[in-house]
Amino acid sequence: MDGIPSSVLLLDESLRITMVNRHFLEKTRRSKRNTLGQFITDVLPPEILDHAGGVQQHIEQALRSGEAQPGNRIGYRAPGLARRVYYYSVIPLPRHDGSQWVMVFIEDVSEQVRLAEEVRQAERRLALVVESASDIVLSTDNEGHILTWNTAAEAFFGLSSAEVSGRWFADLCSGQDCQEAASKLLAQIKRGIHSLTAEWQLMAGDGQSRLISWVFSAMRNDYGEVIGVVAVGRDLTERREFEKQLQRSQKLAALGVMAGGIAHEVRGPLSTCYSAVQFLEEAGLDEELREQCIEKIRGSVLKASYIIENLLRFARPAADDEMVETDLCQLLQETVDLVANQAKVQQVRLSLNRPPCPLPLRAVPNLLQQMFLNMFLNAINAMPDGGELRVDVHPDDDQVCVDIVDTGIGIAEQDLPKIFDPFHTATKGPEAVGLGLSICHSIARRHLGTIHVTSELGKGSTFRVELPIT
Amino acid sequence: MNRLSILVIDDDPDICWAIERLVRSRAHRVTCVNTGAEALARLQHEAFDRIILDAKLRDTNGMELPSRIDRIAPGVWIVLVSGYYYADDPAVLAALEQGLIRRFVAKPFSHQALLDALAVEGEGQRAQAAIEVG
Repeated sequence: MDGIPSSVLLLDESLRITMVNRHFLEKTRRSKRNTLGQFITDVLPPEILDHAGGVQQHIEQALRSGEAQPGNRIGYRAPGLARRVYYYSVIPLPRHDGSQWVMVFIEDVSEQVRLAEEVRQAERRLALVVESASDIVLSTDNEGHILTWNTAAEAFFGLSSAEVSGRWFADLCSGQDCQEAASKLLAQIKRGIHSLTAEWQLMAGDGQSRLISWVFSAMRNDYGEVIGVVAVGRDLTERREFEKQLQRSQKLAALGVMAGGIAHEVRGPLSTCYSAVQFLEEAGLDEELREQCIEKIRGSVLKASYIIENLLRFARPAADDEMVETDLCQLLQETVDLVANQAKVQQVRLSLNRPPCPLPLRAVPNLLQQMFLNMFLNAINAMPDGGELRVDVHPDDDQVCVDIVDTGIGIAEQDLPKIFDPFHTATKGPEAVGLGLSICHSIARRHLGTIHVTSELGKGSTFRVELPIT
Repeated sequence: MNRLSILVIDDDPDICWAIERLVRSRAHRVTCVNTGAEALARLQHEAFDRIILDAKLRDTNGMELPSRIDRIAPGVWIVLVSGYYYADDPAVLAALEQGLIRRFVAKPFSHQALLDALAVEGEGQRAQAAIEVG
């Protein structure tokens, strides 16, 4: 009994202590001599004996009924010490002579109580984080039945936690495709894939279909077994709208950059026209010069009109942003024509090396042109002292590579990972136009493509765009 | 009126055509080149009284050319003719102030404005007026 790390007392029918273990004596700082034979009421403090229902009452009950009494918890603060929590149970022990003794078992559970409280607090904090997240956070079991559902999810779907509890997650999808994708995804996570991402169009509570980007992660128990899935969803609608605005403003910025080149190019033919008109006004003009003047005017008007037409084509807002079959060759040719003026005024030799048209792919032509235009203008801007801009197109079986190679200032190695960040700009000062590569990146991604860059300071950069072709 | 030799540096053949016709009709001698490199090479062994320079050329930024020309032909009278800049453009004002160019004429130009900017003797009065307005 002395080896038991809890207090054990044995009482006879008159509530006298007949046996006690070392643990009890140590904790109460008593000796065997002044404890054995004493009444329990003289040994334990009245706060414990009288506590809710009372230890004493439980002991008497056990003696009367001969039945073990359910355990109970009591708090006690000894003078000058911290409050402790004890758990006690009372077990009757029938004796040979028919009399009844009871064993009182008292355990100090303060540490367990403290740990349990800490766990509860951590759980509460975690729940609060999940609850206050602006993203949709939900969890499912291995079969995809919803277990938990945060406030953001309630707000988005217009369904309370109670309403969706136990429902199959894929039921939230509005389309057949999405339902199939959801089942496939759950199966993959169950097989052990750590996390997966997806973008699905879902029906929100307000009846609007909205684009949600999801990250699904496996939920594992202490043994590493997958016990469910945590899904975090973010409404992309606003971000898409923001991207659209950014694209519009960047288009304006691109137009601003090109304004100088366009002015130069248009005022050239205008100047020729004006000169021709002034010659025509002269008295005694010979027939040969007259014809020359008319020819110059005709040619110049067509030249200026071509420049303006290209500009209009770019500046006109996109009718819609739907993917359509697009000829990449023609698109690149038009974009190269558009920046040709700017290249010229900055002494940049510009060449497009492409296979014979067409090179069909599915694209939002306006966006794709904006992406290439930004990249071309960036390349031209990287060559303040002139240089060469080469656009090489290499089609492959199922994809096409467009290499945009400049002989400009290059990008420092430490800046390379940052160049696709929004708001990162290498240009300082008021000329900083930031024809964002972040926009280019998002446009490429939307076309299921990628952009990679290699660069050497002082030598130039190569941007490689890879796009799937149809 | 003095007979001047004029060098036109412009990569647009139509502009060269117009300027050539104009100044030749005033009995001046005209040479047209399309690039900065050609112009510098030409200046090495030929003297010109006036230079008409486009601000944007295929091979050089026209704004950098005047200082290089000045090393070969010090003090030569340069008229910048451009569709890229406007009359009170800071870059133009700076070039005028530094004496890198003598006059600026924006494209499209009236023939008289260009002749004035060339400050040919006999048309000097008008040139003086142009300076005061400028």
